[in-house]
Amino acid sequence: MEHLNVAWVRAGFEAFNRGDFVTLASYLADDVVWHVGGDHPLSGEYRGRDAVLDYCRKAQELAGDTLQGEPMEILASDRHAGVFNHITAERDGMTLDVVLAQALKLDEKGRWTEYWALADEQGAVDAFWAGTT
Amino acid sequence: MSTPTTEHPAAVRMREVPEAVARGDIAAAMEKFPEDVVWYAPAGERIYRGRDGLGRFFGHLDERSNGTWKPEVEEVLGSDRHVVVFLRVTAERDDDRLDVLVAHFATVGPGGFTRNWFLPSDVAAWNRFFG
Repeated sequence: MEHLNVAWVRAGFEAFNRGDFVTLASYLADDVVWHVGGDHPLSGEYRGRDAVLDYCRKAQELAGDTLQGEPMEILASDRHAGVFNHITAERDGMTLDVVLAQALKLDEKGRWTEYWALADEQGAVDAFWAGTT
Repeated sequence: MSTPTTEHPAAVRMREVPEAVARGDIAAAMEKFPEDVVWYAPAGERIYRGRDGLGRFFGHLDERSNGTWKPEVEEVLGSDRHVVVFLRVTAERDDDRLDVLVAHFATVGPGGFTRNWFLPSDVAAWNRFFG
């Protein structure tokens, strides 16, 4: 039987897809830590709910609200979640199309306390956000 | 940590990988991956292809840690198609010590774990130690 946090995490990612950052905020712990890997202008560590939401808004803004994730599968427990996410976006004639492995740590209420991720084609992600593809 | 009795068979197979690595049996760990394994990492070659590539990845960790790197399973989540194992990886070199959480994602194929994403949560700490 699917863990309750699978549907919970899916709903959070759907909020991101539609740019509903008010709803997305309810999924984030106050002291969430969000690691954005790679080597591009958005790479870095974002600490706290407001900083993470600012990052999410910035990413959608740069992508003209085209940044979308279509989860291929979500695995979750009380403590962790793993998302295999097909990510697409367009920006100034550039296209992003990668599979992103996204890891989440969850607190006792299911809120996201830590996030980190890695793409299959991380070089393509770096180039997309740098605007050089 | 004991193995949950309800763990998916793919999760059970994945659990055997870090357990083999932790006891120094890299050959047993490699058997869980097909000849055409692909291994995505945030540093180094970034994409390691084939068992030779995976051997280079493991070999680099061994070399940089003087054989002290050790993965300990925190949790494994699995399905027929995918598996994710959350690991606490520690290593020591001289006075330097690494202790980071790693999520290892994999697709499940007939010959083993085909595509693999190896994600340290703190890439900077990982690169400082293993870079």
